[in-house]
Amino acid sequence: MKNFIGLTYKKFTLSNHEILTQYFFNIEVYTSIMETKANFKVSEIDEHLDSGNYTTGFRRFLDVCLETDLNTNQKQTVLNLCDTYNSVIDDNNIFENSFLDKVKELALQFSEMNLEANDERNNVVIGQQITKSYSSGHFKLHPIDMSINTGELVGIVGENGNGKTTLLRMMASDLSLDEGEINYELGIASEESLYDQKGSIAYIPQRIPRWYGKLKSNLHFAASSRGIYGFENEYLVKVMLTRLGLNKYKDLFWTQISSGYRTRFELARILLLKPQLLILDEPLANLDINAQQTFLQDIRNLAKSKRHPLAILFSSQQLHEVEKVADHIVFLRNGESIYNSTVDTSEALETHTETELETNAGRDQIIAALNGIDKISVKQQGGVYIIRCPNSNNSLEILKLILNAGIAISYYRDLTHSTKKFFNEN
Amino acid sequence: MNLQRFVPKIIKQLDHYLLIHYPTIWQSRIHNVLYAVFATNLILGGLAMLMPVNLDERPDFDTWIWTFFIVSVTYLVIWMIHVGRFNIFKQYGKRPIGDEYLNFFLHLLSVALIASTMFAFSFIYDQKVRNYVPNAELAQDINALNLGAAFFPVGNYNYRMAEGNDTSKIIYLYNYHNFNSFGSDNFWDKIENKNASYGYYEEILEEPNPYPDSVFPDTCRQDKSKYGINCPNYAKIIFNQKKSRAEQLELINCFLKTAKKYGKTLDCSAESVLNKFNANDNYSYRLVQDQIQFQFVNGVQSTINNIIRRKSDRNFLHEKDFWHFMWYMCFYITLIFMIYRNVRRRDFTLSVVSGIVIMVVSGIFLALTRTYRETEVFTFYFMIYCGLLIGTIAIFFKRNHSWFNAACLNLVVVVTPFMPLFYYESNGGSNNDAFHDWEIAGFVIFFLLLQVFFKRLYTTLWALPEK
Repeated sequence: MKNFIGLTYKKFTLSNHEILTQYFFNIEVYTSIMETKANFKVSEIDEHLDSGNYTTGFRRFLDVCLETDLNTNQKQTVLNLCDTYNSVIDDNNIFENSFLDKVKELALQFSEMNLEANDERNNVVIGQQITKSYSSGHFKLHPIDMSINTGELVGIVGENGNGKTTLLRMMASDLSLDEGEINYELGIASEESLYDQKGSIAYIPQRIPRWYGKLKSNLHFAASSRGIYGFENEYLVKVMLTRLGLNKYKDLFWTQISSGYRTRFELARILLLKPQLLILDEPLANLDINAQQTFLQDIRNLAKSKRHPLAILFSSQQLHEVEKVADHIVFLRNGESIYNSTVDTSEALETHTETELETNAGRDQIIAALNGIDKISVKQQGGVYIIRCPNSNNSLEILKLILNAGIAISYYRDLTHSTKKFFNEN
Repeated sequence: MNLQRFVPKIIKQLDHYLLIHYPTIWQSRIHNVLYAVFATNLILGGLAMLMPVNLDERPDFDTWIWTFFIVSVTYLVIWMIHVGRFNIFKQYGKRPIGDEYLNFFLHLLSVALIASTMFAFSFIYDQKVRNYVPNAELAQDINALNLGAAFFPVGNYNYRMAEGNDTSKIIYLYNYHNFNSFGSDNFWDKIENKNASYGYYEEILEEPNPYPDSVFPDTCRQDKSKYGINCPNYAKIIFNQKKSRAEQLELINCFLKTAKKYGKTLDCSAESVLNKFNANDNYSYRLVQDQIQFQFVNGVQSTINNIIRRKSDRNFLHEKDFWHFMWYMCFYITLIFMIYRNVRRRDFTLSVVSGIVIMVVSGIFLALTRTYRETEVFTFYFMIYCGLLIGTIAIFFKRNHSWFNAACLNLVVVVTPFMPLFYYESNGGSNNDAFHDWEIAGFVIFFLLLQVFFKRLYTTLWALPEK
């Protein structure tokens, strides 16, 4: 289970029971989601489609299609379904049963096809004692070790100006190292050629370079430039557009779409390039909250793909979102890695219990409510209270005590297992 | 501006086909260039065909070419912008074997096609003027004019003094100045495939000249006894003597009719033209100077000569110098664009600046050291070239990207085609054929190095991380 234990109930106040119920409900739902992410099941498609969640259901169906070796006729059928889906989505969002049945039938059929799962989880890149300083002397990235495996998501977090982008650029071989070394194991024939290596690395900077011409043309070009020609090119581009919900915008130009859609189009382009190592710098920066969730889910699916698992390295300020999907987190402060571990290895974080909550109550009221706990510290930070106590008490107990004292809260999050603690320490 | 609206559906379909099947060809936009150039040349050709032919003046080709040069440059800039946007190489994409040759060829072809718009209008108009009157018809008209020209004396030279300087006793000669003057221009001989000759009548040519030299003081200075044609004056006399009045009137009418065809008219009848001559005089006539007639005949002569000049002008497509110029222009535009596409923008800019700095500094150095001998100058520049080459090869051993190495590589690429020629020139070479051989050798060396050496360097350079 990931340390996704945050709840947000802004603008209204819930009773104690409601909060706890929601809390455990969310844990359960999230656990379920993570299980299905890791072990994809076709039945999920049926559930989504039956419950009227057509978009998710159809996208999961397209995931199955992309994971399966389809023949030309089958691909043509999928394209026809994409056309139908896109026209309905653009029109009235009412799908005919025949369409839904067809999707379910094909999902079952494709899932039964012999999939050659790629279970290898080897290192894609290993960085050792990576060091970088700039000539201005203002900043130095201290030695950092880092390795990323196939199918692994590594998140880099830290405040602005702490070396996240520098580290990402070095890992993408976009920036030279002062000391240390980075070795890529990308399984390509001419391993000694940096040019060939970089062909397997995709780096998306925070400010995505502008695209020219129609968005769709750029995707076709990306695919054909990687040797995907003809019908296969048409198929992959259309499926990718539909999969990422971009079909409506395919004939537009770069200046006609929002920065959020630009990020999604860039992701579509990068996926068509079929990299082995994907590096994203602040990909969530331009996305709204819903788009962030979708985006994170997409990149997690990519990393965990059965046939083409990717190694993904990304940075973000959205700490909780990073923790939600990342297998491994690196926390940078002043160019130093102060936390570099898997998210599951939570012992390193469990030095104390930390709770974050928002309430109209004063600090004194909170302290009074937590009167029975030793060595407690309550700090107000940016409109929320950060409550620290020894790890003999867990966050839920803190929550219960506060609710029992009749204090209404509008936001609560357990930070005990979260690297957010490092931010708060600053 | 969205240029797509000007593109027909079939080109859009071709564009998509190339995009998903042949991205290397697609990114060169050769299909768009072909369409745009074809459409533009068609329009320019149409305009040239609609433009009225002025037979009296030489078309101002230079002005037209420079005017349409603006169109070519505009197209070139648009093409470069579009081609610069998509680059498989910079995307670390899958490149076909010999991709740089293919790219270079496609870009060279595109540049050449775009350059053709500069010449389209002039070429079509020139062809129009050339073929305005077919050669055979023109020869026939010239014959008619030449036969009748004898009756249209012009200028003040077709007379001689009978006695001293007594102007009252002028003896007017037959129009020896005009006879055969139509089409007698040497340019006629330069007309290619004319399939017609203009007329000297055989019977005239064969007649011996019985007149003394004094009768024809300005002409017939050579070989007058043999060929009448070399003595138009004599030929005219013989000719006139052999024609009846009716025949002479017919010749004059024929002249007037032909002149009218070329836009020149004389408000005068054949009778009145002929009546100016003294019928009793075998070889001379008295004529009152007629300014209008003078202008008329000169106008006809000018028009005919202009047409002959246009026809005889060598088509620039057949000129070696034209193709030489075109080759160098297209080659270097393509080469510089190739460099631009292969490096970072900053590297390209700094390479241009470096090239200028090296030229200026080396020039000053040579002047200050009074190095003027060609071999010494060559040696000096060859040393600079070697230095650049070292900076270029260092790319293979670098761990990070440097604009200096990029500039070295770019300058080496630009200079390499010229090096054999520099060498030849510095050794006092002056033979034209040998010059071309050395010139070709430079390009052969360049093309041999293009894929296996230069492209490999660009590939390595592009992948190097920033410092």
